[in-house]
Amino acid sequence: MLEASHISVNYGPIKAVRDVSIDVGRGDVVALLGPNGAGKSSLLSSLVGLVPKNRGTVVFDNEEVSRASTEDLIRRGMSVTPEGRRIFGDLTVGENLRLGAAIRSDKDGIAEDTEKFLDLFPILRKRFNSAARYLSGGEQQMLAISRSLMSRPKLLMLDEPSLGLAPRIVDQIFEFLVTLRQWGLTLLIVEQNASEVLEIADRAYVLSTGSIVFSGTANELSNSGGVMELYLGLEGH
Amino acid sequence: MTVKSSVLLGSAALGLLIALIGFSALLFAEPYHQRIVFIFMVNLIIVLGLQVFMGNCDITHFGHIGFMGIAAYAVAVLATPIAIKKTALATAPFGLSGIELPLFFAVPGAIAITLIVAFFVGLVMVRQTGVPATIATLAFLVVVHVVLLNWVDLTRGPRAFYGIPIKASLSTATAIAVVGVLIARMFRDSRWGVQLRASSEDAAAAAAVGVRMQRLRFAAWMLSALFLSVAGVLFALFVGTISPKSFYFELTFLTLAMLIIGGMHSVTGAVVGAIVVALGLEVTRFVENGPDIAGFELPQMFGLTGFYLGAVIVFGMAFRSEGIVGPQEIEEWWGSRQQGKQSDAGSSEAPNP
Amino acid sequence: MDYFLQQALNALSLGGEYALLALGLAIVFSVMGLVNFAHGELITVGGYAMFLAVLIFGVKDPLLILPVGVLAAIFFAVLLERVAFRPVRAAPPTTGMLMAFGISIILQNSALIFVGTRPKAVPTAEWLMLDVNIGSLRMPVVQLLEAGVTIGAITLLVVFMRNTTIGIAMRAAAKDFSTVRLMGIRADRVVRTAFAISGLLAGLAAVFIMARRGAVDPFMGFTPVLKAFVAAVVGGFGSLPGAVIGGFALGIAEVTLQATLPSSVAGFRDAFIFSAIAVLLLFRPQGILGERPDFGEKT
Ligand SMILES: Nc1ncnc2c1ncn2[C@@H]1O[C@H](COP(=O)(O)OP(=O)(O)O)[C@@H](O)[C@H]1O
Ligand SMILES: [Mg+2]
Repeated sequence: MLEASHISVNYGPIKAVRDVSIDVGRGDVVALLGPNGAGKSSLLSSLVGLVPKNRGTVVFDNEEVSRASTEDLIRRGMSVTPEGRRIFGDLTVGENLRLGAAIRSDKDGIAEDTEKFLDLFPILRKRFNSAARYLSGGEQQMLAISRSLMSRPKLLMLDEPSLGLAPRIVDQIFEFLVTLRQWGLTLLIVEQNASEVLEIADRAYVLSTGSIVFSGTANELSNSGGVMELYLGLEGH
Repeated sequence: MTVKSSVLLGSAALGLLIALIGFSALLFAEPYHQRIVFIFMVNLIIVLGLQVFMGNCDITHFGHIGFMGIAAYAVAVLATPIAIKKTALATAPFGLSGIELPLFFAVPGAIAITLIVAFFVGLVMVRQTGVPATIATLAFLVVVHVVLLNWVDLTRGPRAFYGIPIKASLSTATAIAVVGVLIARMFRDSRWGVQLRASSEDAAAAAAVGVRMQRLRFAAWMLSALFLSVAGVLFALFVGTISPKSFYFELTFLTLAMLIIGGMHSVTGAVVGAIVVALGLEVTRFVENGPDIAGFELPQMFGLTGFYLGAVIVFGMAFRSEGIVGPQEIEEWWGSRQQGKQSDAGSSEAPNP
Repeated sequence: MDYFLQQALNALSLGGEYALLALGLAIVFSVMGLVNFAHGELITVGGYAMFLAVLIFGVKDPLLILPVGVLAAIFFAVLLERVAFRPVRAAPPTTGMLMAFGISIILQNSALIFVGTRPKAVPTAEWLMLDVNIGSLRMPVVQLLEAGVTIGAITLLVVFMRNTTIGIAMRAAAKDFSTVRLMGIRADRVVRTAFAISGLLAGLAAVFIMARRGAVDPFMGFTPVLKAFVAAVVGGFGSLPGAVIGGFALGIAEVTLQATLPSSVAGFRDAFIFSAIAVLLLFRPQGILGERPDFGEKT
């Protein structure tokens, strides 16, 4: 589904991502882990064309898209739930969902999908016509994920979906990600919170100061105490 | 207060350049050309004053010429001989038609009046940020113009104010411009100037020192107004006849273009921009008047100088938005070129990655 | 009473003109952070287009001249975005603002060079110059239309911004442009739409300005747009409702002063108004509806 090879991202003199290659197969759930400042968000932003890549190629859905614009990549079936949710606070919940479906023109399909998410998250139905900024953090995250699904993506990339949320809410979010997995969606999940995501991921990459320091199955990572402790601050199993 | 040697060095280099222009005009040029060079010196002082505010606060200033107008009219009203005022300014308020101050009092008086106005306008200005601040400066220019046009008893309104004693000379203007460079450089590199520039670059840092920044910005505003008032007094005392339209958009555009194209973040940029745009302006004026070139008579093209200034700004912004000189001063420029040469040499030996 | 109603209509039509222009400025600013100093030239271009339509194509029917002015302003706004402002879209706000300022000077002086200094007359439809009598009240048709068209245009704009995907996207882009792009909505399209709307609003204003002046000259756009800028600052720069409120507030202030100032100081009207606004901004720096300044520029 997604093959990114030798990606580098620089901000002036700062090398945020150095020669990173990752591979996400159709239907896979892949975790991208690493401490704060490792370059995870930069990698994601470069994959979706929001920040320019200094080097590297991206193949998405069997097509080379290294130079494609963000708008183009979304239209081809990528979708991103950005770090910090970035919901449109001044717009209503309904308007947020509507913008998520901006690339589609099938009115009935859009209405159907909207209903689907409103059923999944009744709070969104209740607040459908009020400004999204009044939702709680967890509710905003549900809205943000729903919004990125409204384009019916082939690949959903989530940047730290559990960031700043209470443990009970984090569990809800991961439950929802399991549902998405059951729907057959391909997921690339960026997290600092390794333990939860490894329970639902097939494979994992660990990024540190811009480079990949581990790649393998989620099980391998869970069992490699060294990596877990060194980079993710966790006791291995 | 100690002055850094780099500041002295840079000011000396620029001052020498300006002095060279001034004295070669004094020695070799005809009166007509001396007049052009005098106006250039006045424009340079304006651009320096503009740099003090714009370069350090990063707020585009459209109102500077308003201060110049106030100072020019103030010195005119104070210093013009009573004999002339009897016919030209018979109905002046506050008994001003019966007053004729020697320059020794009239010049500081005019500058003080301008600074008092600047003080009150500054109170509003420093509370504004970004776009509203710029609009406020533009509105100020319009207010000054409206007042100059309509306070007929004091200014003769749209008619020219004549009979101002002609006392300024090219050597005075040159000397003031040289001192102006030094003052602008000292401010830019003082602790205040450095803080001001740092805070206009970084919004978060600025918020942390919010109140303090307002004070610094106020200081820059007042110093800028001082430059402009000196320029206004010099101008009035040189040409002897002024009218409100001398202090409106034409001069605003010209001096802004000079600063922008040179590079508003450095005093070197202000000087270089003033010189470059002035040279281009003389050429454009020549063409605008429809000269005979090699037997062909070119048509008059009214509006060409304005077009030239607009084009200078647009091309500057499109291709070199930091100006010809950029944010570095002349001595840093020299230093970094030396460094550049060294690192160039270094990289050519390194293998290609 | 009649006198009061007459003045109210004056204020409504003048305020409407400022509101249309201030809205155009605010839309472009909110979406892409550009302070469009060349906005006034959209009015001028609309005026010259009407003049040329009469001169070259011999368009006589005033009903045809009016849309020519509006369409020219829209076309020109979109053209300016494409050739002048797109290259500096990612640049700091000052660069874009000075760019617009330079463009404005170039356009004014091009008109001077190629068309001449003197105002060019454009015939105004006779029916526009008529008065309608309602009881003892005489209302000029131009003013009634201007007030009506302004209110209509603002209503349509509200509907557009609330009910179309691109309108909603424009509201979202005002706060977070890159997330709008993450929705797959093309940035170019959002920006172009903003310029087209600002051109449309300026074109409508141009039609009424032309009807009142009956002639076009190179600098005619300056004063109305300066007022519109001031109105936008008073309302809260970048806020669309603020632009409308600021525009009408300025119109009301001007008409009130015009009606009450003794003729000896009438010339100072704008100086009084701007000074009053300065005092207002002393107490409320962010304008009526603006958010508190954060000592940084929006990009
Ligand atoms: N827009 C930017 N400009 C400059 N440096 C940046 C920018 N965004 C991120 N960085 C730097 O790049 C590095 C990686 O950041 P980021 O990709 O956000 O890491 P992560 O998402 O893993 O926390 C950090 O050192 C960060 O400071
Ligand atoms: Mg991150």
